[in-house]
Amino acid sequence: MSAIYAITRFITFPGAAVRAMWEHLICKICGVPVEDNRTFRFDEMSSHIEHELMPKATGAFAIGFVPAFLNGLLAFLLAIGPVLGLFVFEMSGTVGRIINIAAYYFAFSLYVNSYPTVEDALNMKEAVYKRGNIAQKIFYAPGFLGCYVGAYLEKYCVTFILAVAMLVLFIVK
Amino acid sequence: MDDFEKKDLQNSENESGSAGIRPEEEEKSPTQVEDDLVKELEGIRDLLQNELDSANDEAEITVRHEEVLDENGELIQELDEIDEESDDEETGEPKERRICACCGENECDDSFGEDYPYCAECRKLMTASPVHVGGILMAIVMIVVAGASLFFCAKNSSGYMTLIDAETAYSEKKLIDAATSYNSYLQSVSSSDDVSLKAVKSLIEIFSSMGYYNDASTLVTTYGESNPSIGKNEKYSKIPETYASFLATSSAINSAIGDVINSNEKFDYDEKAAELDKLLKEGKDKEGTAYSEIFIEYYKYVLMSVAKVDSSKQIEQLLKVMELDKGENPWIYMPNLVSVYANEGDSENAGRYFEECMKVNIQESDLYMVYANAFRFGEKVDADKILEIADRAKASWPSNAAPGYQQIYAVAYLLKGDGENAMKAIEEYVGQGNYTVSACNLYALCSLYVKDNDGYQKMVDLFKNSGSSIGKTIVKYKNGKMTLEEVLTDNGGDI
Repeated sequence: MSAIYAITRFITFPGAAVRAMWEHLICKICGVPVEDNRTFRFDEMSSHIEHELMPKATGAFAIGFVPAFLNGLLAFLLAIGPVLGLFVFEMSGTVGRIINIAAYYFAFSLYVNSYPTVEDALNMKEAVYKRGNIAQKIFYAPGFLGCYVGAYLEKYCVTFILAVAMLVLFIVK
Repeated sequence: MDDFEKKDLQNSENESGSAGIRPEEEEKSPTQVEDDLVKELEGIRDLLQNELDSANDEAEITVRHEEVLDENGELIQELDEIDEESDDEETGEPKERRICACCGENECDDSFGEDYPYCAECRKLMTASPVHVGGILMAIVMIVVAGASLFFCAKNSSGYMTLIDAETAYSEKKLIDAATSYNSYLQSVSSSDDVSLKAVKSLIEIFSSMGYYNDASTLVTTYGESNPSIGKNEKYSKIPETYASFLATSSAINSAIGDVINSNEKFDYDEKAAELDKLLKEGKDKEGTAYSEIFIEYYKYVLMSVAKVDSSKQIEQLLKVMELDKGENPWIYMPNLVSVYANEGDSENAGRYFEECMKVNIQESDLYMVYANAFRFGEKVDADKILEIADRAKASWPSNAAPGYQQIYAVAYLLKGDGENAMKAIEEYVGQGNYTVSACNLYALCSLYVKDNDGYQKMVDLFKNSGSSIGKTIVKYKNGKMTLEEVLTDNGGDI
């Protein structure tokens, strides 16, 4: 499974690199040491950076949620043009088509690489729901749920399969 | 041992003065001498013990270093093992030094936790490790691409809005609205290089399904060359050929039977039908363009219709065309099937083919009126059903511009005896400038029914000015020779 996971990370390397960058930035902002900052490895940590676990609720939430949110937002912005231009209205312009194909690939790679590791998701759960206050528990709940489910989906490459399925659907339709 | 003893003895001798001479007052008894000796020996033992302890400590630290790091200085011992060793501290033994798992040199920084594996220096380096430039560059590239993509999207946004309207209308089977919006979009596109192929394809489909092969063919030839998805599409690429065939057939048919179709003169159906059969045998024109068999067979029906051949034969002929066509061009025969059945008062069959037409285009405005006839020309007049059809016709158009539905309302209301609403409906229709023969006759009839002689006279004058005259059945109604119901349910009537 780790090998398949790693291969999908290599296929979607732009999104993987960007996610690792967000994670690294969050670690720097929170002052958390990064133990291994190699983005591409042939194991389940591929596209993630190895860092110490965040002890505080906000930090633990941020390291999982912020990269997911930023990748998701960027993926959404990148996908609007291609979905309309390539799949819905089938625009014929060559330049526009090339840009839209690139944008769709980037959006695809960002979506596939948006969720945190299971370790970070579990740490988020521990930090928010055992050490966090009531406001954090409520406010972080939707983000936590998304990250927690997404972490497992991504671990087993389900996000990759979903993204491919969506692409096939767009093409067939 | 000997060295130590001698040294100590020498020291004692030095402290006590010159060697070998003992002052008299220091002369001690044998017991005292023995005690002193014991004390000195105890001192030596303590000294040696201390030396031994410190040597052991040093030796232990060296061994630990060797366990943790191999020859290349790489970490070979797990942190757990180090932790296990450190557990000995709890037993009261002196606290052990834990070495940094990263550098393998410095002591771990316990301020971050008891088992924290790194030294302060390594931790600092880890915290300050630089973010990969690749990730940053990739993010910048993505933002630029997103911007460019959104720019193209924004540039086409007005076109997209028109296309969304068109798509919505098309999905609702409102082909007239859809075709209008698609056409409007194509006219607004400045460069033929950047055009929505979906719009072109949809418009080709719409034109084909409505029988506008000329327009469909133009679109295929215009956009097909540079776009393989249109030019090499099996279905679309046949359209120009089909259109050419229809055109050649139409021209040949016009030469053969045009004189009788376009005039009111009586003619022998069989004679003219034989001319169409001759075209069928020829198969193609002088330029080699094949005639369309379906078109020729359809024109046999047209001949029947003009020659007023029995309606069952007309239906038979239309069904033959339908069988030959295999569902490719239902626009040729389907509305006619509805019309023939409706004029026969066969609402069941008329309804069946009417619904088939509705599956393609709900904006077949004339067809609503034609279908409504089935419920007034049949054995049983059903005004409620006619009202229902009028409602459907009205709903098929986005605004009150729906052509013709007011006539259906007017007929339905008249059949129900509601002259006021009938007049209101037909006034609305004629008021929009729709001065068709049937609409004007209906207006005149409604005017007579509500006793509005001015309205009736207005229509009489209108017919007069256009060189024709008002319907005979309307005049008969005015003269009391026909009832309202007879006028409305007369198949050969003027409405």
